[in-house]
Amino acid sequence: MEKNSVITVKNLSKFFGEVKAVNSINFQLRPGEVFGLLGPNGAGKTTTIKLLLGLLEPLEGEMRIFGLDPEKDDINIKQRVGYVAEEPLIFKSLTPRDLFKFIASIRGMDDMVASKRGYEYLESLEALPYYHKLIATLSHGNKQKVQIIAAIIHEPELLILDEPLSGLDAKSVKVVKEIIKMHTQDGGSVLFSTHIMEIAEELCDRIAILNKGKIVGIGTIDELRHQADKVGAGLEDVFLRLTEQDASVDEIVKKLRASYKNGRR
Amino acid sequence: MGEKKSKPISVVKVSNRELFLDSQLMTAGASQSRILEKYEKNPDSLKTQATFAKVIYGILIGILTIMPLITYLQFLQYLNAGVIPVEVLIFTGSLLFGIFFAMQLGYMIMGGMLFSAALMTGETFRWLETMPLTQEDLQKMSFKLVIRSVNAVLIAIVFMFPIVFLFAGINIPVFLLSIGITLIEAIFYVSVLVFIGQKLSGVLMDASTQTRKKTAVRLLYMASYMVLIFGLMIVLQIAIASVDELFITFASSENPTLINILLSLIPYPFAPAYFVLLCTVPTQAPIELWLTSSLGLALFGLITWRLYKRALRALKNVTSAEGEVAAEKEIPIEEIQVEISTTTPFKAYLKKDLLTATRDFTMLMYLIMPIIYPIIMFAATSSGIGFFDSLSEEIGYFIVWLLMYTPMMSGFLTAGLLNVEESGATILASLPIIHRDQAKAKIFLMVLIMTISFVPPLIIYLQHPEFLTFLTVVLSVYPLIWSMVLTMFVMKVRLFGKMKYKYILEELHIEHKIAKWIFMVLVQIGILVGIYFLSFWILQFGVIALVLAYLPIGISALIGLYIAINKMFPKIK
Ligand SMILES: Nc1ncnc2c1ncn2[C@@H]1O[C@H](COP(=O)(O)OP(=O)(O)OP(=O)(O)O)[C@@H](O)[C@H]1O
Ligand SMILES: [Mg+2]
Repeated sequence: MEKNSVITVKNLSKFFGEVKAVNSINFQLRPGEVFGLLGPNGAGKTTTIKLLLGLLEPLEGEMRIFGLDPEKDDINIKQRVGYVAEEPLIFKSLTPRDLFKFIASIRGMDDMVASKRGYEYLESLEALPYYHKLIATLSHGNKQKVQIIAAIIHEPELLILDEPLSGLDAKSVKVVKEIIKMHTQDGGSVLFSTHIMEIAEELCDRIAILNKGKIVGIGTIDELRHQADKVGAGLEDVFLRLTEQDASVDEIVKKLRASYKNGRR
Repeated sequence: MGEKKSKPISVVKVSNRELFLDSQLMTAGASQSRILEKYEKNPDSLKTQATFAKVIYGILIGILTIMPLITYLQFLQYLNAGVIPVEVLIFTGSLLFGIFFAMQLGYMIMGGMLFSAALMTGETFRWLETMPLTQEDLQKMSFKLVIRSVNAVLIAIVFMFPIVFLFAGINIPVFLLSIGITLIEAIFYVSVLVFIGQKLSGVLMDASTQTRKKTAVRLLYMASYMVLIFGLMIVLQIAIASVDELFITFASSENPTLINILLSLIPYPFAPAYFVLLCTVPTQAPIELWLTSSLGLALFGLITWRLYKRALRALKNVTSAEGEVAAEKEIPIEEIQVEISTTTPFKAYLKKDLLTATRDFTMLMYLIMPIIYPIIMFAATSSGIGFFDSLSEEIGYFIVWLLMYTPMMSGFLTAGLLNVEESGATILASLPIIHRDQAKAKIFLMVLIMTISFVPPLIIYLQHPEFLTFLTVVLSVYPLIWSMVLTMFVMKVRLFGKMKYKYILEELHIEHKIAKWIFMVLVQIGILVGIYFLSFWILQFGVIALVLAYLPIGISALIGLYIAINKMFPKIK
């Protein structure tokens, strides 16, 4: 296992019955790096992330976070990781206030520090007005904001974000992007999955493209272009080529055009 | 436009399933994806479960119909014998019918209350609003959703009573007439259900969760609902036990003409009761009773109609997004202070669970039921105080009643306290949780509630001359009771939360869920039966022997459980 990598994954697999959700993947995340997981729906991004956090048990393969095994050392790992899950299940009958108190208590944080950071993040994401509202009554985007704050309030070394920007408004997307950038400037690392190509292009140092549980392309954007034989192309084209969807997209567009015309007449 | 007509109904089906799936997912948490996978493989499995619950309630209400059947048969018997005056018979019969109708309402509310409350929060309608449906469609749909949630019960209510009557020998016209009456009642019940749901969800969704006072008020408010409903049950249960006696008891009473007239004017539940009964003996019934009960029935119809209208209006507010969460004053941003005070993990878990209990009705039910149930059971059955030949016989009786509901209560507590975690699954997944702390907090609450729940029965025995003996018995049986709830807890975690290197409190292995629960309850019942046998055998040697036996058994069980739990949740540096 490489010494100076934050995450190391070797031949990791996880099947759900017939479904090969993650099929023998390998990658590494180095300190200070933003690593993107891209892939169509059902590619295995979320499964990979859950395996890394010890929430699922792998079929085979090896993983290390900070040199620790997520299956055995999940508590130590989680002390140093901030995780934003795909779906904000964050205790709907609490308010953000109750929730942050709970989280800070479990993490054993200092009151002053927690309050200060809590205030700053709430303010910068414009979530202060919701501080005393029941989480059940918040909109999806606001729940997502609360979840993001909950994940970064202890200033973790590694952020693992599963589609962190889903449901956020333009301004909050910008703020979260800033948070990610600042986090890496301080030496932190980020692993995140997304469907938004522009964001991946803008933020990621390296990207792994997953398709049907396998990594079909990995590296910097330039390296990916080479792998896809698409020098000079945008990430979207590279992505579609690597996931072998470019042909089918053309076909779908053609069909759509045809039926659209028919419908008009 | 033509095809749009059919839409609301098919959408009702979808959203009905949505509501049920939602409730399933809420209790699934980290293993949501597993449930979804299962749902994909077998979409009908969820439906089957929902239907099962409904049918059970329907059957319960159907069984209730035994009461008017017995009543009617007795009524006919005395009528033919001609000893008791007709008016007295009509009085007793109608009284019992009325009680039966009231019981139906009670059971109906108990069965449909939660679903109705969930519906009235309006969350289901948020996505429906995005569909091309008019407000009116939505309103109708929501009413249909309520009806769907209790449809088996409604069928039982509308048809069981008339059909049973038909078998008891009434003619077809009376049969049809009674269907008409039960139909009005069904509409009445559904409307009442909507109002109760509205009240509950109003309390639940009240966003001003700031002060402790409000929380207390809310708790009290909810508790009073429970007491009201269960109180009703007690009264009715006592009534049903004495159907035969009532006829005889009232036989010697004076001519009840006036009471009959007054009662039959009361729109619900007595007017319909009188009317139905009069129909079965049209010629023998006094003319003035015909008049008053018709009047009462008409009034009942009118009230039902207005209630129905108002229920529709209440649903309208629910289906439009602006309806609720409005009247809440905004705190200016400058005044919001962020003070995050921390405590120990143990206290943090406790606090979170208690907060949830004050705001989540399902959770509250899980915690309050174990306390309320023994009160009710004892209130309903303790009429036997002082009727025993010997003290040890009475103690035996006391123990049977005291412990009877422990399996159910430990089930409620375990399920409730472990399920709260599911609504925060992603937060829990991200936190460095020491499961030992988490388990400690849960165990503390379980044991506390179990302990409290055995106090009310004791209060009932305060008046007993041998109170101290009863107190000693309860005190000595506590370790056994704690062991039972802890056994439940251990079984639940072992069956549902076993991982390679540890145990977690969330449900990971949700396969064979029902079988596992049945197994767990059976084990509890097994333990209970064991305790019963032991108690009766030892009671021969006196109460002191019993206490001396309970204590060591209970304490050694506790020690065993402590070791087991300690192993499952080891100390972590
Ligand atoms: N608990 C589960 N049980 C069964 N199958 C699962 C489970 N979780 C995931 N899968 C399957 O594994 C595959 C990968 O799912 P995963 O959630 O990792 O995809 P994803 O890349 O995150 O997709 P999306 O972009 O839609 O979030 C899918 O085919 C999914 O259906
Ligand atoms: Mg995903």
